[in-house]
Amino acid sequence: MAASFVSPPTSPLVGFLGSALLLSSFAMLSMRRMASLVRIFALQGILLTLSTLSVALAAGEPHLFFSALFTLAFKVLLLPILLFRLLERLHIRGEVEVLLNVPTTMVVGLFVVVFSFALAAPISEMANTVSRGLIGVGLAALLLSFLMMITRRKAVTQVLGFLGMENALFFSAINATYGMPMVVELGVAFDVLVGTFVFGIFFFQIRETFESFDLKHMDNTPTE
Amino acid sequence: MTLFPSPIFLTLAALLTLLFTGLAGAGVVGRRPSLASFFFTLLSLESLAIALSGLLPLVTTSDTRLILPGGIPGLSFHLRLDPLSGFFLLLLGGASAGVLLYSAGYTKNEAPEKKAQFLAKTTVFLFFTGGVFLAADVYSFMLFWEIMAVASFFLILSGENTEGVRRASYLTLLLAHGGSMLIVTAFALLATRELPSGSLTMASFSFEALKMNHLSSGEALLVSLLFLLGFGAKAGVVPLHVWLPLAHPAAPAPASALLSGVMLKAAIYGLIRALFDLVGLPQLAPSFGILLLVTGAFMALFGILHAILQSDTKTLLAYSSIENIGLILLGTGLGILYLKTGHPLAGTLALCAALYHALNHAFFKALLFLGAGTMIHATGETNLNRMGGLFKKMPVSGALVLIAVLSISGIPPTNGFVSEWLLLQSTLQARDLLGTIQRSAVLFGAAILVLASALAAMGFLKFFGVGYLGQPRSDGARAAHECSLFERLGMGGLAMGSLFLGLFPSLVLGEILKAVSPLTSTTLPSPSGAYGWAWLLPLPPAGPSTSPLFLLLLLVILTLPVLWLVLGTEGKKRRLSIPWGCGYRDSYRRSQATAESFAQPIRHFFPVFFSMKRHLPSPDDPDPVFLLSVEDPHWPLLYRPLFRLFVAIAEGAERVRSGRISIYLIYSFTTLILLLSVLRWH
Repeated sequence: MAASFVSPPTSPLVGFLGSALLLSSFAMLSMRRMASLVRIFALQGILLTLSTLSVALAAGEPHLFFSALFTLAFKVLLLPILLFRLLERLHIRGEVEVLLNVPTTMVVGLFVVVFSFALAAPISEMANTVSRGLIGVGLAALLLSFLMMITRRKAVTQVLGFLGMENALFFSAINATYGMPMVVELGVAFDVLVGTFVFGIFFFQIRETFESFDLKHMDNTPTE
Repeated sequence: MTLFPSPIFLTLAALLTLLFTGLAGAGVVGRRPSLASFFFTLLSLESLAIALSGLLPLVTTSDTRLILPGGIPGLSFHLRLDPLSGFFLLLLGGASAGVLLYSAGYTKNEAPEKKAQFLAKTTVFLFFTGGVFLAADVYSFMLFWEIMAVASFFLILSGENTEGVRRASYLTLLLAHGGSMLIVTAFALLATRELPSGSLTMASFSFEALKMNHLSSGEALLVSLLFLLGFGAKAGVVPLHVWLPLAHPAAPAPASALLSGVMLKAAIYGLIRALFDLVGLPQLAPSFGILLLVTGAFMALFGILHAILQSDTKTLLAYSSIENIGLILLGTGLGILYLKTGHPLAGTLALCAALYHALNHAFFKALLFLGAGTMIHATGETNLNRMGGLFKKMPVSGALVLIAVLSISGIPPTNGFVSEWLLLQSTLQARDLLGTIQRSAVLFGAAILVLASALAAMGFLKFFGVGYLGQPRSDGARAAHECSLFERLGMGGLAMGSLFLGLFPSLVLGEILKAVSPLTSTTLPSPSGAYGWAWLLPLPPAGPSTSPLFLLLLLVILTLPVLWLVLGTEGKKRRLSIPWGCGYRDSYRRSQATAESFAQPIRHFFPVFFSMKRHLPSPDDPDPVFLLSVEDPHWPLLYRPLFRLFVAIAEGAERVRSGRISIYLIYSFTTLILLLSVLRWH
């Protein structure tokens, strides 16, 4: 079993960026302050841009340069700016509230990573990209972001989890098949952007209605 | 460079002119309603231009392509005008020219906004249907196809704003989208089977690339089936036809004429393009041909039986469309079967016959729907039982409808006769060609074909007889009046088209052959000798032959003495009485045969095709009520149980709905983990 966990060789730079991405996913999971969470998201965007660039250089795929450019524009600049403005206008400063305490979440996260690497082993063998060893990393980052969506209570953190999932998905696509077709990528990018806008409007509505962002207000609890 | 621009440019220019005229017209007419007739006439001429630009590739057998840059990098519009596209553009332009001219008169009394909306909807619909015929990659094809479907939804909605109309248009949209999903799936399967490894790029979605597929025989059958169901949902293939008898009566007459005349043909085009051009003839299975043939035969019989039973004018016509689409599919299936069993001549003939029938149906069915529109406008009634005696009030439009009635009944010398004759001749090629099972399937199809044609004659005898002959059956029918000049002109144009297609079949068949032979890589031998244009001899030198012109001459010669006999008896033995008086001396309208009485024998002989509810009062019932309702059996047997099943599943699924977002997320998370584990460790 242990043999299947061994990843195929990858270029050191791409490998380093991949591990940094995984680390940033854990950082998001453990972060307690809202603003730092957004900053880590922006950092993840930078890592994603760099790793796309390095894969583009290593594999000589010109369309990946466009992907990198889009990533930079959307995930490093546009979305974090939008999120910061949102936090400011909604006067969110405080702590992240969790449903499951952070140490337990981290332990669950460790299992998730092991699971992802075991899962990705056969895919990595099939793929023929320079960075195929990193498919497991992408999968792990995806599941970690999902975990964050489950364990957090505030709506804003859930959006960040959602955006993190999208990042991870993008990362996996780049490493498994040198990216999705351009149309799909563009479509997803626009979806995420529109999604963020919708969430933004939604937040205002929630606050208007409940004067709080706690998700329990959105639960459909039947009144006795 | 030639002096003459390439045909595809001309077509594109014609289509764009139509679109812009229509949209500009919609803008102007809202403020200046009196200009509506002008715009409709202009659009009608532009439709003729589209028809001519479609004729060009047929006459010159040219095949031109064009790549227009799209909005997104890597996704450009591939367009192609080959003879097959040209043929369908000819169909579209020809039929819509008449319909648009008619609309000038039909919408005369509508509110200005309604006129403007109708102009815009019609032109958008026609433009994108034209686009479907030109598209040569999956992306643009689906784009045009979907906009066409949505435009048809809005065309149906332009009827009265009632619950029934909304339901009908929604059902249409629902089935169209279901169909589109199947079509996209089929395209995707084709695209993934095209290259050895998974290097899927946008370029591999052009039709050129899809042709290079190497499907296994099982996959080819699956893809063909998906295409049949997908396009069938829009063509009204039984059992996906349920929207058709609801949608056509709901739409205003010109809209139903376009839906039935043009849109159903777009689905036929899609099917033929997908099967012959994309899946490719070598990959098609003979068994799929038999399936298509049997489906077509069943549709023909089912459609016409239900048509005969309808008393509502447009519902009758809608069911008859199902019959005609059935005949076209029958021809297509026959073509596949012949071509795959090594009889290219017979196969080419069958396919030509199918396309010929598609063209004919576009003309006469559009004419019939327009005729139904004039009947409904003149009387204010939709039920045949409340019409009657209209021929005296509306002689011109009545005569034009009569031409269409004769055509659809397959009576020489009309166009319906020619295409049904060709279909029948191609089924009869089975006599010494095929194996036992295949031969019996084809001959079974031939028998159904003959039966359906005879029943069609019966159904349209009812349509014309109850609607136009006898005495008026309601006050509305008594006050009926002839329709406007524009309406008569539009119908007249379609009638001329029908007559031309009927009287000069050799010319028409020659052009259709140019569209078909690239698909089958076979051409029919051209008949030698004089008078080839007047004498239809599809399989020279020896095969069967006919001549509608000669038959027309014969009919005239035979009719003259009868006419002389009748007219010559004036003053001697002639007795004038009330038409359809059933022997009563006084005008007793209720004694006339009704629409139901025409249908009664059919209901009696073919009960399995209907789901009937009857209530006969007992002799001592103090308050006797006679009740009979006939329904399409697909509703009680297929659709309603399906709906109930969906509701039951939805209610079961409701139990896991706790209302907590975190719980929902955990559901997705565990499902994801479980699915991934199954994938990894089986």
